[in-house]
Amino acid sequence: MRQTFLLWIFLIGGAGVALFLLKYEVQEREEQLARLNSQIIRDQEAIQILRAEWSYLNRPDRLADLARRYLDLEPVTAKVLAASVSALPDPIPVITPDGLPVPPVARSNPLIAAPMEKPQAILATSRRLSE
Amino acid sequence: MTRTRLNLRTVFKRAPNPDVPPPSHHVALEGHVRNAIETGRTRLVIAAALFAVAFGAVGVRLADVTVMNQGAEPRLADAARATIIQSSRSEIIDRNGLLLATSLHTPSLYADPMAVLDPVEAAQKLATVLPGISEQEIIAKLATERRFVWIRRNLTPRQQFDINRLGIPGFYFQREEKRVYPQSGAAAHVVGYTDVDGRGIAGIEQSFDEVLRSGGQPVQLSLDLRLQHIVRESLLESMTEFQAIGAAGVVLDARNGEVLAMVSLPDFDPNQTRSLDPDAQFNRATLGVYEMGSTFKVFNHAMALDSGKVRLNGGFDASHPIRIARFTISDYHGKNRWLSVPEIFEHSSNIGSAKMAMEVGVTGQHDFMKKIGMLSRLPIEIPEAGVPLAPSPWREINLMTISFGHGLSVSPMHLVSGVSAMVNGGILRPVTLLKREPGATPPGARVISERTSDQMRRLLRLVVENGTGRNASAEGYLVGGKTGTAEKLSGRGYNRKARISSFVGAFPINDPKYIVLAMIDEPVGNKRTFGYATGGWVAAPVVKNIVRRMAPMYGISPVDENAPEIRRDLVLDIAPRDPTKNGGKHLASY
Repeated sequence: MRQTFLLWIFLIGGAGVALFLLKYEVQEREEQLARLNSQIIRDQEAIQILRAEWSYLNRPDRLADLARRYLDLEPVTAKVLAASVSALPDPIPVITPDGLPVPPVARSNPLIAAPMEKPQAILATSRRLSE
Repeated sequence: MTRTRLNLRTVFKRAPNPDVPPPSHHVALEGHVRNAIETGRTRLVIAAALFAVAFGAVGVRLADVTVMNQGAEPRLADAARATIIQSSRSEIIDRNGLLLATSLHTPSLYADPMAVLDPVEAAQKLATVLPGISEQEIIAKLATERRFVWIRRNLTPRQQFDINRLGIPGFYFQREEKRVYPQSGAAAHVVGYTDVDGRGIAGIEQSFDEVLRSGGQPVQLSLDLRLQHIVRESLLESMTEFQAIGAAGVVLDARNGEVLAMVSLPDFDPNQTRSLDPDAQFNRATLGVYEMGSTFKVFNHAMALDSGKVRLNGGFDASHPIRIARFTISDYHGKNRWLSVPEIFEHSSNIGSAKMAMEVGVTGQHDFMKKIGMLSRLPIEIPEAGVPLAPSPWREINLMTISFGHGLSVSPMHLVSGVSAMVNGGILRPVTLLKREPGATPPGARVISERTSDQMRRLLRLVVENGTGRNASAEGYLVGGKTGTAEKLSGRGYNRKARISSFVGAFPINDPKYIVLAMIDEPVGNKRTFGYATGGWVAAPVVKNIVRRMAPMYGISPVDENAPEIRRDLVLDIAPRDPTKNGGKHLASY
């Protein structure tokens, strides 16, 4: 009888303390959440401002002005552009030290690389995994 | 429990009599007492059963909520609050995602003059961090009796930081939203601007006001900011050289109708709209309607050739001016002889064009102009869309003047849209300022046959190679186009001094991808151009400049203009004959 009574008192007290702690924990978390949310909004606003500034600093007229002042570049003309590799003249033959010209290497289209072969080990692994 | 309480009550009842032995658990009761207790027992049993059911339900629900259904707290608690900023006015971006317009939350500084302790010292300190406002101005503002006075609106974050660091009492910040256009005037006429309350009152800002207000995805335009800059710079250069009062330029994708660049000069800074010059605000590219002059001969030739009534190897006598009513139609670059159809185009003969139009007739011309959209309001996404000025009634004199671009006023964008249909295989597609999905070509309406379109391409190339448009020839990029010089209407007649010089071109003309238009308003000839201010001298070089700079950017590789496969596409294989003479000029070399 008495033990039951003590057990109940103990349980009620325990529950009360637990609720108390939980409530404070939740309150703190909520404050933290609010802080984070306002921080996120502040950061988003800062990002927005930085984006606008980035865009402002990247105005084409400003970039053109900077390029004119600091870079040794000029507009591309049609003369310096080649339509394809085949439009280039043949390379000058290389002269070896013993004075004999090296026969020019047969030209192939250098823009297309041969497809790479898969190493056998990878193939074996993938086969094992698919089985 | 029940039993214990019953016992207690029994004990209590019998307590006064000590002789009675202690009660056992089974108390024998009699009469009405017994009945009452039985009733009580039954009631208690029912109540207990009810409570058991209720507690059972609570227990089941508890298990359901905590164990069965989401054992833990929801993981994302309240992140939605962080998206408040998205609900402000959405952005406008160009086709590559560069910002054209955005909304920023900015602090504004106000003061409560009653709370400022020492106005002179405060003003002194503030003036050091706020450029553009003097100490005296701040003192004057603080001298009022009110409790609220704006010191400065829309500060930068750095200024706010500096003011906070000064720590002067009586000054406060108010958050305000401000529409910012980082590109200043670069696309002012397309993007437009908003009023103080953030309502769009021009350009895309006005026509997409509802969409922008809802604060969703940014509105993406078809404009390319880089190209916009190139067009604007080229036009400005020309305007300065020829002391012109204005200019307009358009670059259109001939394949899907996207406007890649649209410039109207003079322009304005949409960040500062308080005192806008109406002339700068006026959109010459889409709202202004002009008699475009000889560039209209593109339509006249296409109409005549497509009708089948005029053939490419035909010709007309252009040796004498046409006199009709009180007008005389004569040629500017007069040859005073019989001209073949390509020659009429190449030398921009008004007499020849008028005669070609007469073959088609008034109804035919009216229907053709209507078909290519020259008689209706420009279908474009901004409110500044011009309505053409067409003659009514459409008489024979109108037929003749419209053939060389007088008597029918359209906006430069109308012209570009029409020329695009003439060279792209004959399909008229609506122009748009919004970016289309890559590969999504809108359905268009066929206005001329594929064959006529091919002939037009060859004719346009002829003008640049040998005719009035030689100054537009950007080497390697195969420009084809037509010049135009129109005298402006002033009062009841034409003003010989005030002209609109234009050039509309397409490149690469063997497979047109882009249409480029340059129009200069009232240019004045100079020494370099021998006093000329015609389309060929003023506008053609602008187009050449634009093409030269944009082609590498758009991955168009230069070609050898004399390569046989190129010549084949552009040669006009005809041998025109002058019926009045035998032989005649041979044009087959191009």
